[in-house]
Amino acid sequence: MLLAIEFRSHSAIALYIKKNYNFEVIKVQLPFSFCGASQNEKLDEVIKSVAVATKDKDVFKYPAQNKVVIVDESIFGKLKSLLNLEAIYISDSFSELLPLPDIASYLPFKMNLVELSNIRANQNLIGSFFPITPRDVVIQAAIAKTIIRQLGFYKDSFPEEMLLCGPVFNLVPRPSQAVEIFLDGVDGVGATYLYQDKVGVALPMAAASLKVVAGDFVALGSVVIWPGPLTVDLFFDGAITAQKVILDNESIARFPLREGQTVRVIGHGEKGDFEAELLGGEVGLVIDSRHRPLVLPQTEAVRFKVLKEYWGSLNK
Amino acid sequence: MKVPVLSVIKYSQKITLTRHFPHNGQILVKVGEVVTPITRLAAAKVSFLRQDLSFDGRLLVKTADWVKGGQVLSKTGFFGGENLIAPFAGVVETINVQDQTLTLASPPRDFFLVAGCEGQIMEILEGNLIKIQTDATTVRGVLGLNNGFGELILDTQMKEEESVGKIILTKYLNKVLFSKAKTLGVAGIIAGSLDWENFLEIRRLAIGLVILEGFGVTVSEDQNNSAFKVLESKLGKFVALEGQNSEVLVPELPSRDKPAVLPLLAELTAGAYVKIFGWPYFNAVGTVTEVLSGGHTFDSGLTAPAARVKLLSNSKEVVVPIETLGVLVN
Repeated sequence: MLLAIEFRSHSAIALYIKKNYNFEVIKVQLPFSFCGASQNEKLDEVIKSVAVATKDKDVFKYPAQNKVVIVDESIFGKLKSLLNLEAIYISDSFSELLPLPDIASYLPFKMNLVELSNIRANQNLIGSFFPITPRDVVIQAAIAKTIIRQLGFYKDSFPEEMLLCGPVFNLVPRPSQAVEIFLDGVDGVGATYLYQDKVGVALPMAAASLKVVAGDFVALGSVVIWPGPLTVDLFFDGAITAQKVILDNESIARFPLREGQTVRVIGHGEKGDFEAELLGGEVGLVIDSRHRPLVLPQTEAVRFKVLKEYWGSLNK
Repeated sequence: MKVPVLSVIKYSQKITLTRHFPHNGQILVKVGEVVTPITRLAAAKVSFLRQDLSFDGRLLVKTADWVKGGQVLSKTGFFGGENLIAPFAGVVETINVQDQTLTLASPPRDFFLVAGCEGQIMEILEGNLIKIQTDATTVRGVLGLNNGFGELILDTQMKEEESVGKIILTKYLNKVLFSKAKTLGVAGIIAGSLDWENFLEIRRLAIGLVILEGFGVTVSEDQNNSAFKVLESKLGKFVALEGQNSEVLVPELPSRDKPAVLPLLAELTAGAYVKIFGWPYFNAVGTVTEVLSGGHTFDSGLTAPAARVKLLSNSKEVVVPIETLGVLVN
């Protein structure tokens, strides 16, 4: 049975429940001619595609009109009430108002702004969102970071746990890259636990009135953002002896900490002290002691070097 | 795996073309009348050349003044600047003192709106909108703005006075070409491609525009599936730009053959002729040589169903995710 649909700009994510009550997520490419089509036309096309993919004729009986989420600018304001979970959604359609120099400042290589603006425009219009090369991954991430910063989410502090969802977070090759986008985009200070919606199930589940719980997603781990210089004592899994870490104000440090493992973190810094009991995940524990709001070096060569170092710290 | 079907060119029967007569004039046809491309639908006196000019200093003319070509329209003051010289003879249509601009229009001449297609008058609305039923080839672009109707000419054929009311076809629309087209009073532009930053400026103006392939892309040289190539073969014909649908309609003689109905999605198989919508091969066309079984891991680190495609431009074989493909069918 088809439960719910999330309409993105060029595709739809359909949530299908099988006879054994397991979920299946089916991605449907929408024809390009559907850019201006009505919701009912799109709905018919998605139902047909799901019927073909699942060989389930009963899909047509589904009264789906009220179980559809349309992703547009308004989605950002609705996320918390839809999911009942704090979340950041990065769409596959980017506002043309995003400042290009800000996007380029997150790139560790030189890129012509005309080329960047053309890529963004084509992507909004007809392009596929799938990154084929590492360069494309970095460009998508730079756009996502700029969107998060522009939207001004979590400028001061963070909730206990957060979900990273939407096409960008579905298509990052490594879980640590989802964390990297979050850390480079937000301006807040504090600790939070991050989950990644790897398959794009969050919004269709919410549309189907299914309870969205953290367990449905990839548990990435804990992040601490606390501007340095910083001295941190880490007590892994109830250890009595601390692992001491000293970070300057330009560092990101990643520590392996599996899902289910805990760490007690006690930090002493110029901006004050903090103490927290944190959980691990696929990425582990990440401590980011960079200045907030994040300021990247103006000189191109220095910025490229620093961005590569940040990338290396997280993706080692 | 199914992928979208791209129908760049299709033949449509009994479509409605709306001819817009933007002036106070006389309608010369009646509802039900059968027309040919040269049937006069309406007549009026029209200025064929119109240009916005900036001035500083003291203005020497007022609205509705007739001026000669080369006449000084404004004189600079004590602090220098340049005198404004009339680029052609005409009448001062408007003056905006705040923006320090004036609009100069050439002397009105007789203008006849012709049908531009074989068909039948279906409706005449508000005295200046004439709807004609006709058959047409539809060329689909990716984005459009406003409407326009006129004879299709190449950008290299654009000449003063002869370009008024024409539709310009260009592979790449840059700022210089656009300014020239606007000054010469063209009815619309069909561009294979342009840069997004130029589009931002152009879209503020009420001129018909259809972009065929995307922003900053190289226009396809494929003879059968390139929208540009098809339109190049229609030079000299009247065409209609339907900006809201991103389409160019080329009226054709009626045909008895029923147009083919294409599916929206089609199964991807070896031999399919496709267009790629993912970087770094965006807008490239080629033939699928193999649909790979299982997932393929790309350099980005992502794994997805993939196909091997032989590119038309250099015969190189590349592996791309199936979700970045569209099948070209015409």
